[in-house]
Amino acid sequence: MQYLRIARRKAWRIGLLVALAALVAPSAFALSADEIIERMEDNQTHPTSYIEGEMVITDRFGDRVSTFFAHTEGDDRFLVEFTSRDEEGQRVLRRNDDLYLYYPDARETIRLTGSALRDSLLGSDISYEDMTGGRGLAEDYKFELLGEETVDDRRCYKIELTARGTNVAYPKQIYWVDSEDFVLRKSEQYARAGRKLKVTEVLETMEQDGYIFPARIRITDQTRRSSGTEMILHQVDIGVDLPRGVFSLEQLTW
Amino acid sequence: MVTGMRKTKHHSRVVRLPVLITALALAVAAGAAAETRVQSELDSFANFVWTGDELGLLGFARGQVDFLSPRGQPVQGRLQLRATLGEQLAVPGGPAIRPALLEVPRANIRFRFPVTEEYNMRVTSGRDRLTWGVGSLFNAADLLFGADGTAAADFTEVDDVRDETAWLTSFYFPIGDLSYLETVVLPPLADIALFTAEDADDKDNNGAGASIADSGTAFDQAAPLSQTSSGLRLHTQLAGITVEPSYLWDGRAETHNFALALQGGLRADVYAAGRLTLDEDMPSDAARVLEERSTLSTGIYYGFNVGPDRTLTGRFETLVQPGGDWENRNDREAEYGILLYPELVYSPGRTVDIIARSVVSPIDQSALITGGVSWNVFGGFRAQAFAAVQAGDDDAIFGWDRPGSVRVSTGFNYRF
Repeated sequence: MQYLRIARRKAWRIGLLVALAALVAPSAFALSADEIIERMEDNQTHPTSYIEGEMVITDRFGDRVSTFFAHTEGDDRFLVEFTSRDEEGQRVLRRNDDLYLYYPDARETIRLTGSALRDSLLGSDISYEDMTGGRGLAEDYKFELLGEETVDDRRCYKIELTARGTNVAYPKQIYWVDSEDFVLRKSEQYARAGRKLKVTEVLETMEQDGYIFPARIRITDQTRRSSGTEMILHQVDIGVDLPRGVFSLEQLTW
Repeated sequence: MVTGMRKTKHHSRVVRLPVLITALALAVAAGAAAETRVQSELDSFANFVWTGDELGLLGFARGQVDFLSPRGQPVQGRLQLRATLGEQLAVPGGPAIRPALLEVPRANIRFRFPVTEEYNMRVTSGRDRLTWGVGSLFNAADLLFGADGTAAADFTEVDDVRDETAWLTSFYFPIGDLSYLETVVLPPLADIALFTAEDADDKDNNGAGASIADSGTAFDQAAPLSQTSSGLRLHTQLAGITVEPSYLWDGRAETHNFALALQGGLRADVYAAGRLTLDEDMPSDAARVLEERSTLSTGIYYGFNVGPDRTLTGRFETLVQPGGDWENRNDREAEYGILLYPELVYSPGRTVDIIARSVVSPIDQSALITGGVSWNVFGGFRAQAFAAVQAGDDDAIFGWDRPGSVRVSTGFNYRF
């Protein structure tokens, strides 16, 4: 999932940045929006990972928890399997820009196309469409540095992303990227008419295997009377050997 | 629930009650010792039914237990047991439901078989479901369970309304990462569905519901091997469209069935399927063969936001049989050339679904209309209320004045 891979960074780079902060500060401020996004995307990209976590959907009747585990590779391949009772065995496979769902009872595979991509993932604030994209933002968006703002006591670059075409989920986005470790701290997604659709906030980060990445994220769909969906990662193993053919229909339906 | 037994399995093989209980106990014991996953589901409903003369009340309770083998193993097994108590009326043409019954909807073993160091094939053996083609209710490419799922459908389900299973053995051969070839063999096991409480004392009952012990020996139930069905399908993608050609030899009907299913879309999800059934008695004229032996289904699905926290999804499917009746025959059993299936699901929040579905027969101007609310109060716990009405003349497929023409069902479902 895109948000699972947001803002990862090798620790030595952060250490280097911290050590040289005073010296490099003037040049850092001179970074362009494209360079900041590129650094952020560098953090997001790693070869492989195995993740276990849960998704907590909150409404007035309480919390609903969906647990899952996932294998990921790069920016555009993942296989998620839900393990909670209601969704037991349901899987989502992403291959490039294609999404496939598997329902174990029906032994049925569905390739999501068209408006079905806008359906909510298990009633959460996350749409299937949110699970696509994430590859090479520069291909789909133009960037403009709007300035710097503080998010949760972290100094961040505020960058506006404007879609180059219509084949993206959000015509406009605003990112707040940490000016020290280039981790995405917050983002907002907008409709073409300017209406705010979603807000993603990074509540906690985790450092492991030389990477820093969000460990607890809250996604709030602004079009719903929503208390938000929290994505919490309990275990992340980076650079793992993936099972052979894990991103295939055979594995999806196993 | 309103529209017949939930996820009716009308080809279940008989299993006697003691056998089931023993199997259940063994499975529980095995689950306690190993990492077997156990899932349970309970339904408790009150059904108000128009009997033809007056409004009646029927209780309906159902329990289902699933035993699943541990994840991540090269061999997987699943045993699903289901017990239903209480009377429930089925939709016209559907299977009759006994006051009490036990079923084994799923009992299967799956395993991966290494052909080479780099290549695995997969085998599934037992009772299971395979979904060929695309379609919620109508699916012409569903060569295993039929193009029209009305008889066995559960219209109170939020997602899938069809859930038929069958005894089968299938072989799955991956072709690259996103394509596969699947072959299937369906042995000619007897069409005996149920073991009921009544059957235990009914020695004369040799039809549906009889147990093997009641009707003689197991050999009496054996069907000729020549009735075995077998087939294959290829699932692949071409130019962004999912393409699935398939074939099935139906050993009982002695027919060759060819089908092609397509799925794609831009803003809306669009799918279509066609089937051709050939046998020895088919006409020699190709045009007549197409007219009399073909079945077509189409579908479109679209969803959109209709306000804050509100979504509306629509589905519209058609089933066309060119060789069916295209004029009103004034016959309840008529097979008309076209049926429609419109469906709307309105979700005014993340836990409530308001569902309206209808099977429409435009030629005799009749319809089965189902509407209701499903409220996911807590995780796994749902409160549901549904109503189903048959609208049409007395001699139409669906009609007002017949038993079960009006049904209201309220109750609860809990998965744990």
